[in-house]
Amino acid sequence: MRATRKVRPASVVKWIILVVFLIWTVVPIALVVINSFKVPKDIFTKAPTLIFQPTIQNYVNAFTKSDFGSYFLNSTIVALSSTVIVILIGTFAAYGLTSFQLRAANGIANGFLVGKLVPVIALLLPLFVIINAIGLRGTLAGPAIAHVALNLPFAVWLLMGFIRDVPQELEQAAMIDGCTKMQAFWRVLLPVILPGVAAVFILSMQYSWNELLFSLQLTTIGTYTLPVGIASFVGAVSVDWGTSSAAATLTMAPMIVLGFFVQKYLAEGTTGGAVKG
Amino acid sequence: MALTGLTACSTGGSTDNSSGPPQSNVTLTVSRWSGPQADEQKVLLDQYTKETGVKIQFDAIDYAQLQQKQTLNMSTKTGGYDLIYVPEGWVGSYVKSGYLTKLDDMVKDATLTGANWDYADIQQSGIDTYTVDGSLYGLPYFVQTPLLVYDKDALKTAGLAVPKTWADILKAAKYFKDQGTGIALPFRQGTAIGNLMAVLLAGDSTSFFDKSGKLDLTNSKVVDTVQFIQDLSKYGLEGSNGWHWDEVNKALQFAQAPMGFTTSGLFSALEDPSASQVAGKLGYAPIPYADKAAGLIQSWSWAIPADSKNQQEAFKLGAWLTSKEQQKAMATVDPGFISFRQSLADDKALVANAPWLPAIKEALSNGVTLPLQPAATEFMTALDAGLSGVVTNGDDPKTMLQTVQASEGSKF
Amino acid sequence: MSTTTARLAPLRSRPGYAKRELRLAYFLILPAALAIFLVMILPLGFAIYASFFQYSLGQPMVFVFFDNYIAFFKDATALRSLLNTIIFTVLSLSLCISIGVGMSVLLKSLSPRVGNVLRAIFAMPILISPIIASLIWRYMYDPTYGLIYFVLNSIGLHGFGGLTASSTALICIVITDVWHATPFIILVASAGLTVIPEELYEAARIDGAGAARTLFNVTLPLLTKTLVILILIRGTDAFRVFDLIYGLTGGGPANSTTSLSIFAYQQAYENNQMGYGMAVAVLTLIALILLFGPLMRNSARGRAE
Repeated sequence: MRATRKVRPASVVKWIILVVFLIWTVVPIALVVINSFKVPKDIFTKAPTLIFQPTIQNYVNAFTKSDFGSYFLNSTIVALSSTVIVILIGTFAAYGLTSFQLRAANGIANGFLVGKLVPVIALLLPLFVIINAIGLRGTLAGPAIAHVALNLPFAVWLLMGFIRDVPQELEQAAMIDGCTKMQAFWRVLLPVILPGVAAVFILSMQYSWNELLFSLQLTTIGTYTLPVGIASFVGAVSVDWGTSSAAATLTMAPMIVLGFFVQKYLAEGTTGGAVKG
Repeated sequence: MALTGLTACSTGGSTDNSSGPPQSNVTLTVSRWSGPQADEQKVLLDQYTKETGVKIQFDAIDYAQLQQKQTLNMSTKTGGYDLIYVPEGWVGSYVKSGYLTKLDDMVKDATLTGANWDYADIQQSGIDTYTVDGSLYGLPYFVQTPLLVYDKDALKTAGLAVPKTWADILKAAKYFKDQGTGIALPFRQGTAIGNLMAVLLAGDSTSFFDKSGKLDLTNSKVVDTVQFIQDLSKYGLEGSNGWHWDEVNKALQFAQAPMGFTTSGLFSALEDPSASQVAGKLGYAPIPYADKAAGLIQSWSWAIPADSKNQQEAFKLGAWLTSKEQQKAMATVDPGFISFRQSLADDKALVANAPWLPAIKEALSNGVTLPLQPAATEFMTALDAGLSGVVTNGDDPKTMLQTVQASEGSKF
Repeated sequence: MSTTTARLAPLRSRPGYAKRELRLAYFLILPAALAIFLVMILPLGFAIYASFFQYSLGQPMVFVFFDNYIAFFKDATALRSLLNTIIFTVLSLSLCISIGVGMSVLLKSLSPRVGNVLRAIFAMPILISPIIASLIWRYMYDPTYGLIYFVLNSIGLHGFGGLTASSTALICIVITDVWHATPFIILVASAGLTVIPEELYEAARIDGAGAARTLFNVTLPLLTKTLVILILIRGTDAFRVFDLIYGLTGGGPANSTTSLSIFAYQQAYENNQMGYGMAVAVLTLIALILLFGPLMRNSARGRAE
């Protein structure tokens, strides 16, 4: 019953490229995960060791030497809330800028992007003063506000690109059927640009989850997030490789799992039918 | 009678209450870098809370972000910190910016320090380091200095004596380089290489400055020192040009390097049998010198921000941390912790666990500090980059020094 | 289609309609604009203001006109950091875009099931924090314990400078950045590719177009808008690279990996020259506008009709 298939050279090359890229992507991550189960004398060996006595001591350290549980909770709150806000006000702005023949649209869109071009190091001091003045220093709102703003330009630009590809008749047809402009947006346009929303979701989540500077400087001890905790292990004083690797593994895992769930929306948009218009 | 009885009763009641767990509604926030020392300190601070009822928020963050976080808070006067950990290098600019409180009156007040605190027991060099324009701004806490660490057996096998001079160390390092290893050096572009140069200059009886206090990098002794750094770097263990102190320490700890320059604050890990492959096998000596042994006083102190709302309580905690008992407790769990307390210098229990103490004593008897002028950080940043070029690219030492002299000389 | 347009005409011409629509548009844009104004534009204003002063945090500001800007162009380290930044951006951007777009096209050619799994795996590095990425790669590049040296030595290649030689350190950081950021391109380009109607590929197949012709005649032209955004976002991120360099080399050896952001940080926070640091940041912004401004034109032009 085995069908003999002719193997095309192009297909062989394709798979070689894919496998090489797979190794390139995975090996460094696997290394840190494996190290997280090693005692120092197994980490610092000349040849990489694959056979060793695994230990969970590094994970125990990560939890006992720091407030890992609280970091985790804080990171979840900041990343989720800032991402939801980015998607909400980002899609609104992208819709407003592309779909209303605004004369100022070009200028506003470019203004958004110029904001993104400012090196973050220049933002820190004035933003610290502002956040302190409005009484949000030491709250989770501080980093969340910063992350919203830092993610917005990218989100708006990407979503503008997606919306622009969707013919305007799509909502106009819905409006003729009695929808208001906003109802048309929610019910007709949003499902079509879902791949873009998914991309914004995952990229905004990962940025907020991993951002260190504002998460450390705008907060106080009770509102620290995971990167602050990681940095305290990795710090310049003396790198505790085992504990760092354990904390790193715990920090990456939720994002990687989330990536697996979200990425199918990236590639399986419902656009196909809609664009035919 | 009844009334008196009642009063006595209630007094008795409150006395009972205060001999139980003490109450206090003070919360102090302490700022310092994270790492093993912070973990050990946290245990002590929990004990302080138990003794006094004062709650402590122990804000230990990555060293790289520490100064930034302290300055952002103090320049904005958030009152976020009550007690901050400060090295000598930051004190000058902190005082100039008005961030710190003077401690002169508080150190004399026994109600704040406690009865047996003994200010005079703290080494004068520590007090001097944290005195700016005649006022004390920090309670000296601990000191470290770079030393030469070597594998005693490896030296013996090689038939070499403990290196004392530049010629000795070059010979020993060359021997090990030929054997396939070399000396582990903290020659990453960063502060360690500049610190080492300061020690070498002191060991050559010179410094970055001439007698009038002007930057003087082009005199022949300074050039010779940088030339020595370049010569030594040729025998460095592979990777040395990307290492800071902690990586050198790791190379020694895992027996990759037979010798190396590292700093005493990290020594505990070297002699911890559970973490080190060379515990008990190492020897410690001052950094080899051209003239006489020298050390670098690199220290940390506790200071109180001017915007703290609990200055007296903060000082009490600072005094408690720098008391003999607590300093001894730190040195007991972390033998690399060297206090400024003279009475602890010859403490038998501590000396037994710290084989490096004689070498540290010798080095610090000729101890210098890094330049502390406000422009010093810029100068050291430029110098560290220049030294990195000398050891990695083989840049000419004299040309490099002339370049740094030209760009930085006018700032002093 | 013509009937739709005809039926729409009366809707548009109703009195007050345009005004209400415009109000709605501004209302939609307002929250985003506020956030960006508060977090970026307002602080940028302060940065520009401070760049004209000799300013150390906590100390009085002294107005110095353009001195900080002039100092930049006389400062060898500053110019070196500008050069490093340009080299880094060109290398990282071109590698990320070509590899990233190439991989997403390859992934699309697979069966959806295999493609989805591989895409999820390929996306992993971007989900990892820069601190962790630099931790991993510091270990990879360690001459004694690192995997890279192990592999090089076992195939007989010795003497690789890695992060400790001026000639190779920047390249090593580019490699790390490509590892970390290419997944970003894969994610966004994949989303962009889904919008390309399948019929166009069928048409190309019927015309007998090979894989290469399909790529250049169908895929890339239709991906242009996404590509422009990717180049803008990735290019401007690369130009402001900070975390990876800070974690891997701190700018060394011999300033061979100092970027503009690292230099600005050193000036503003380590040397307490806030004014000079802000001037470097403003110059970075100006350079970015000059380099990437042309791509920003026509950004918000109208939608497909």
